[in-house]
Amino acid sequence: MNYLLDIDFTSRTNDFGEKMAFGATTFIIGLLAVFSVLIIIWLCLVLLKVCLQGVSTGKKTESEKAPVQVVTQAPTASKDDEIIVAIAAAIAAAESESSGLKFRVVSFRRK
Amino acid sequence: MGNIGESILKFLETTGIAKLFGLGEENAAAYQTEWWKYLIMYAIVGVLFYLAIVKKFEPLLLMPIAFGMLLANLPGAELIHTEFFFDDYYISTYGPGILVDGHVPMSRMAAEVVTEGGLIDILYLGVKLGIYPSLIFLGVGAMTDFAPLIANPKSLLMGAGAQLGVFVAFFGALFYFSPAEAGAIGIIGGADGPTAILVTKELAPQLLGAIAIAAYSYMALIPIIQPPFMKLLTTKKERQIKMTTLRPVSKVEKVVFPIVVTLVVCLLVPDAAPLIGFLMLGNLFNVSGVSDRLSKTAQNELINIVTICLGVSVGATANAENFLRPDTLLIIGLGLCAFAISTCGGLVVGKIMCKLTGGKINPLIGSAGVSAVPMAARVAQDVGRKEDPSNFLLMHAMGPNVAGVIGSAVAAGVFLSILR
Repeated sequence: MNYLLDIDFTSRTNDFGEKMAFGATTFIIGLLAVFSVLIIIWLCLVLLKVCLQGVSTGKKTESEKAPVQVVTQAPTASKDDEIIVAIAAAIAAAESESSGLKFRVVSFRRK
Repeated sequence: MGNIGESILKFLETTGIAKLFGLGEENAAAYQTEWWKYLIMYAIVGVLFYLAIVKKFEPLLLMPIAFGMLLANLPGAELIHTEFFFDDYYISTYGPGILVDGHVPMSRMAAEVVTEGGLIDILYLGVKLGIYPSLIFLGVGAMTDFAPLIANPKSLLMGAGAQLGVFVAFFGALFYFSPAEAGAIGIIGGADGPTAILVTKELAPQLLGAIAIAAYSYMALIPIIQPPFMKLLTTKKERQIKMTTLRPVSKVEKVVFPIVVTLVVCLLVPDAAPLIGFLMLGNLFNVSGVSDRLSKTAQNELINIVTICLGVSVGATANAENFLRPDTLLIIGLGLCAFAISTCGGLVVGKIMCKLTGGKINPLIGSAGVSAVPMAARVAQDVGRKEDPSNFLLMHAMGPNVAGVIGSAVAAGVFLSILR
């Protein structure tokens, strides 16, 4: 027996009207509970996002206000020249295919 | 010669085949009238093996379940004694004095199983005590990426809408079944095996075999069940909607999420704690980045071992005697309705959200709210790509998909709190 209606949960022979009333009540309570819990989680996630955005904005503002010690680095020659050249050559080769021009990379030379 | 002949005859009488056809056994009459039921059970086992091995539908679960069914339907093997898990056996054996508060104490039941039971009886204790579903959820949590849900929390609504079938099937089942049984049948619509098992072992353990097999079979058949409803409830234009890329989710959000969900769900619906608590613990193992060993164990060895034990022991509860009844057919029918209505519920919420956002949400992802991770999300992706091959909905569908896991656990908690 339960507090909702005078119905025996384990019996198949409850009064039909009572069963239907119980079913309708449980249907509504159940769906409401599922939607409520998931909406609360949604709100918590939105709140969490807002809080985190606030914290990150605060950090940015602080870092903008704080005197920044600028460390200048002496310009150094890139060690990836060959990679850059290779990529540039590949792009040029790809473009040449579409434009109909014949293009072939023969060699790379550091200047 | 006479002795040899008698020995051979005696041996033959002890075989399962002789028992199946009721030859020379003390309880021959029982088998003699029931043999055809065993043959039907073998046919059902064959279908499940076909689905698992040939069609590759949920093979990790359907195969142990089918094999458990096979073992439970071998006359004479007696690997499982389902009667050990019901009060009636103890009342008839030891008298009504054994009852405490109207039930046989679990300690007494466990003692009987350990001393008198077989291997599968002992394995089944994990189901009876509610250990396996929680451990499976631990592994599922460790394997699940909640980032799509965190990035797009609106998808929680689709996960909630896709629980509609649970409550409609519950209501429908009340016409014939008891309220507790109706609750266990309704939860099939949650498309979540461990949840269905946990609820059924509490509310209607006598229906466990039928409900578990219906739930897992339908989960396996999602690619066949869902698409017709997806096409019926959406227009071609809606199916072609491309959704914008999800925002990146920070580690802090990922770590806070399982803790927040555990607190919210377990404080509001404490009966969902064994599922949600372990689901979120597994996820925390994964996202925290400091417990890789635990995470790997939960998502590999642990979940694999538990899946074997759960599958075999649940399958073994489906013996010819208690499976081949009109109830089972009704359960299978209601389970299918629950699945279909849940799919429609998710789609309808998806459509509403599509309208409200001015066409930014593809309603197909609502169908993934039925849980069944990640199968339902893949189906949404496949149906979307059939309309537009350049459309990628998988990550968007994962949001409602994992929301469905939480939603079905909440629905289970509601049933347990009301019907237990």
